[in-house]
Amino acid sequence: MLENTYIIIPVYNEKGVLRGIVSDLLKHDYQNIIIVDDGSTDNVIHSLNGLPIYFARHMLNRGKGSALRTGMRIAQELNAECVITMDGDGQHSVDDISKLVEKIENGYDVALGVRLFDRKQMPLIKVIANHIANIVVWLLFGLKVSDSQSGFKAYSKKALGLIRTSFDSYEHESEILSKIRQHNLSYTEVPIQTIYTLYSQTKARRQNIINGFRMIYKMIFFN
Amino acid sequence: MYLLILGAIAFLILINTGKAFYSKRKPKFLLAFLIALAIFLLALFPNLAHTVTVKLGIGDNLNTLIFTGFVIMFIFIVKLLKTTENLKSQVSHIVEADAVRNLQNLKETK
Repeated sequence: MLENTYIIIPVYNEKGVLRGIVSDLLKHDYQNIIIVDDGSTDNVIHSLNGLPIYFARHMLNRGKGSALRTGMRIAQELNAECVITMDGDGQHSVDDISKLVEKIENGYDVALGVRLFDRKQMPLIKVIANHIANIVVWLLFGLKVSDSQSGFKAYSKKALGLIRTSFDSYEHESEILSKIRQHNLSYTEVPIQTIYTLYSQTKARRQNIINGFRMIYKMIFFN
Repeated sequence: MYLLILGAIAFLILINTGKAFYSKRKPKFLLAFLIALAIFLLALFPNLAHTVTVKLGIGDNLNTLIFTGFVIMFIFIVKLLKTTENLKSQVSHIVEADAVRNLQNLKETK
């Protein structure tokens, strides 16, 4: 399955760490990497010179959800058997990919990476916000998950064909869960590491309380 | 007291929009001027609202009318947001299609 496993990384101004992440993936023998540049202004492609990857670029910044949708469409066209989505800021560990792929090989449609919330490194407000998001997802879609906002996931070919999302921003993660429920897809959770680098912690946080409310509002009125 | 504050604010808006309309001659300033004038008159003569509603046949049901106005506003806002969302979604669709069409396979260019 590894040959037909595609890794999608949506990026927006992640030039500083992206080459390292891609090189690490290639070192671990993941040869199918799709980078979707969501309208970055830092000429991210220059940092990827000489690396054997697929590269797509949004002419406008449309949000992580939109970038993931582009990546999934490309993976489908490339006949992917399994698709992994991971963040472009280096917070996900390459070592966890095999755990997610293994679940897909075992017959699950979707494998959800679950971050182990380390209170020493993660601010309390973020831990609480994540719990609230989990409760909201449970109330809206009846799906009990431990980390509804994790971007580290694996999808089978079946899931890739069925999941059609419409939200562009961070609501996308919750929308995916609603689609899992809607199509009655089988899913499992996989504990993953979170790498807290200085870069990922100092980077401007895009998931704040307002975005949380926006997510709830969109889920109710537009889903 | 609140009528005094309201009257003062309306008076300021009245002067500003009056000046803007006089210098730029744009209908939007005339509309703003008329609204500010109405608020100013209501602040000066609070009973005017009641007199107008009685003349219009609404009588003491002004609160119901205001509430209905809020509901209509809410519906308009939701409709507007829905239209904006549709537009955003269409923009995303174009951007995504363009990105897929122009996919670069750097494996081949290596």
